[in-house]
Amino acid sequence: MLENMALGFATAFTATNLFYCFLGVFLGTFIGVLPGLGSLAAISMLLPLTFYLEPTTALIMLGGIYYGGEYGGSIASILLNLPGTPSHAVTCLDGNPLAKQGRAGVALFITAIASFVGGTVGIVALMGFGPAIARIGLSFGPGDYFALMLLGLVAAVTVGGGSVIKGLIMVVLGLLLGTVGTDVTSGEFRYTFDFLELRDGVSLVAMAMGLFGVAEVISSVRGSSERKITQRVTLRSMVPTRADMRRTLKPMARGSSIGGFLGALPGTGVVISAFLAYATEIRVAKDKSRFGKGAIEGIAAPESANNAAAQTAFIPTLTIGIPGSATMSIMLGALMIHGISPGPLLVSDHPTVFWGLIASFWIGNIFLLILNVPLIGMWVRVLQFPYKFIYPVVIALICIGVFSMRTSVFDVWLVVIFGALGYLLQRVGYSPAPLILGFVLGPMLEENLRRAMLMARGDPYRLVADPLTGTILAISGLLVLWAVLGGVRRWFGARRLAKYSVDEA
Amino acid sequence: MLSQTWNNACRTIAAGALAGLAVMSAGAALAQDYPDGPVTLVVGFPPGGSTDVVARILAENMSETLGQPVLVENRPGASGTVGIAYVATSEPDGYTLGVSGLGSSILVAATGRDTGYDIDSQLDIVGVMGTLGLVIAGRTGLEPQTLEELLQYAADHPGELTYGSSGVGTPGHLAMEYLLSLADVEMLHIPYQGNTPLMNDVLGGHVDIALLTTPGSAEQVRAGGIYPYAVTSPERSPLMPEVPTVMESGFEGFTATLWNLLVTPQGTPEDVQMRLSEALNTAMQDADVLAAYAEQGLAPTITTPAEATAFLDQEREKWEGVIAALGIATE
Repeated sequence: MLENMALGFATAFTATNLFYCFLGVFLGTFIGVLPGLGSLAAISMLLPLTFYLEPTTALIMLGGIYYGGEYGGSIASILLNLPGTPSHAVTCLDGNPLAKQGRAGVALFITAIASFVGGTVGIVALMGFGPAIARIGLSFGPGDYFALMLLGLVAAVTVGGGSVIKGLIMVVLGLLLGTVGTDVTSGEFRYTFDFLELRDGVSLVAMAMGLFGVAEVISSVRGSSERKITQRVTLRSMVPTRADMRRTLKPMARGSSIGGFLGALPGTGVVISAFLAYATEIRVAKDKSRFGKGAIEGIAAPESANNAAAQTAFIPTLTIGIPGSATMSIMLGALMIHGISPGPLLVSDHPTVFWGLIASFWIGNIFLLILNVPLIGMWVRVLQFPYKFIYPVVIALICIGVFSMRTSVFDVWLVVIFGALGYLLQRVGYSPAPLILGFVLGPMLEENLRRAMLMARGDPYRLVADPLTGTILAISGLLVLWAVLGGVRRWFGARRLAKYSVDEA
Repeated sequence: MLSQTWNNACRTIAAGALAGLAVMSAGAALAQDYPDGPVTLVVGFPPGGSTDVVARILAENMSETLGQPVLVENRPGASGTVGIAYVATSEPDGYTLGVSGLGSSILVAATGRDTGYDIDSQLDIVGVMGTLGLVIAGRTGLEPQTLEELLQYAADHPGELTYGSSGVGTPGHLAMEYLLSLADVEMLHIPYQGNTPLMNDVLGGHVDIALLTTPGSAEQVRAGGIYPYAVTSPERSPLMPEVPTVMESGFEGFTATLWNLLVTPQGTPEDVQMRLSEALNTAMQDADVLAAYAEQGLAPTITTPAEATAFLDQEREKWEGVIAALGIATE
């Protein structure tokens, strides 16, 4: 291990690799800050440039953009309530209220620390247990994925922070939107309305940018006179109180574990990690009402989760050659173009690529911490611009970003439609966050359930009898039971209280 | 009545305008000046995928030959048809080209689904961009050691084996159904959303057999994570030379290959097409391109536009026959 790390650092510490690592994380942060432009778009645009680099250098830079984007995305979420990437939609929920309370500095600082902690946990997992984690990932069959997604969905209902009924409505709407596209099991088109573009489903980025970004811009424009941010983020204002620090330790640990685990499973990824980490925090919190109003745990957990997931996403990609997400496929494409075939033998055949990349993750995360903490003032300067300049730029960036994902004008129209929907939801007091989670989980849930049922030859008992699937399903069942019992107890409690006060009167 | 007249008037105007455009663009695109600007090569799949890699290998070499950059543009969606639909409705001036695979050229339409274009009347075929075989691979721990034994096992244990493909109506699905019908045995088809989850499940032992592309699985075969029974190409794959072809395994005439065609919108001037065809064939003989092709398990092809069109017709006849025989069409 030490030998390998020495080899890795020897590779990563060359002037060229350090430069490209810095370039990658800087670009990543920058792109993350800009709403709409995600790391996927950035990496696909920069892929051709990397043909002229050494494969390790190319990967170091592309990797830097990827996890750098997870850092940067939180900045606009906190300051402007505009998520840089879909996984940061959840950071808006508590990050922006914190900023409105004048605690933007603390929120940004905690985010940077949480991101660093998450990233570090992810790298340690990748380094120490990569192949072992990858094997665990492989042992997850369709039934287990289904059970896991169901667990996520049960947790999702609480994400809105507010009413369970509203949360349920949003989750169901997300599930319905998730059915649009080609049914994997039969190949039939569902709700595509003869649009070729809808055959692969609704674009997640277009949806998230519309629901959160455009909707936020519309409502800000409407109330722009009353909203002025005059606060300056100084280094002093970024120092969290001791209570803040105490409150964030456990959420960071939980967030990192959730993100680290889910990131390593192909197909789950950063968005689900961030949302589930947030949902878990609400579950374990004593006072649930603080969420959505600036709970510091509500940014620490998801931020550590998405960064941990961004790092562990490299586990299946590099150790078994299975890319967990679209971005990871591009990374593998970059390797293939250089004549390196990704697969289980990559680590032993090309140790410099693997260990050099891991070493660069350490370096990159330290660069990011440096970029994020002292330079936060620079990002925050954006706030000093009047909104009349910021918002048109934001809208333009969202459109460019969404367009560049698939070179699709259709997706830009989707942004407009979802922007209107998002504004409407905001006006009537519904949080779009559970909708996004339902949308992401729904298709995976359905696909895996149907695949598992096919494999079980239509026998639901065989599905439940699998020890792993059964256990996860049981946990979901307990969660539901817990929620129901809690509700019933509160209801009775409220009645007793009401009776008592009546008696007294 | 009125609206009909109005419609006709509109059509006449539109047709006139289109004709005018066609004349103008044809004039602008004489072979000696072509190309005098960057050429866009549309790929209907996301960056980093196998089609994208092929396009980028060739684009680099064709840029040198044509003296203008050939830029790969990804317009992914709906088995590649979104990208090709865009090419089909682009200006036929030689500045918008497309990479059309088996799915967008034949299978989507042949399984009864709308592609948004008609390949025969809206696209011209410039050449074949190489061919690629599939491998029939099994999870580790399966008893049978050869394709014959596998099919025998399936015959002895009906309904026990499962096989996964990267989706309904994809080449892997159709090729396997075709083979199973020839051998008169049954396996349960488990469709996946692309290669990644399929690879995950065959490595994890959740599905017994998987139809995978040779470059995508060569490393897993080398590492012993999956067991290759046969390749579907007419010749053995340079990536796994020890694996027999399906033909060698006793199915005379059985081949299933993936390929890509270089296409242009129909009406692209003939001299421009010839220029592109030459550039493509030059690339197919270049040492660097050949080396990259070998790494990707691709077989290079040299074709004239006429040969490529004939190739398309021949492939279509074969796959339409398979689809009709198996009754797979969705509508």
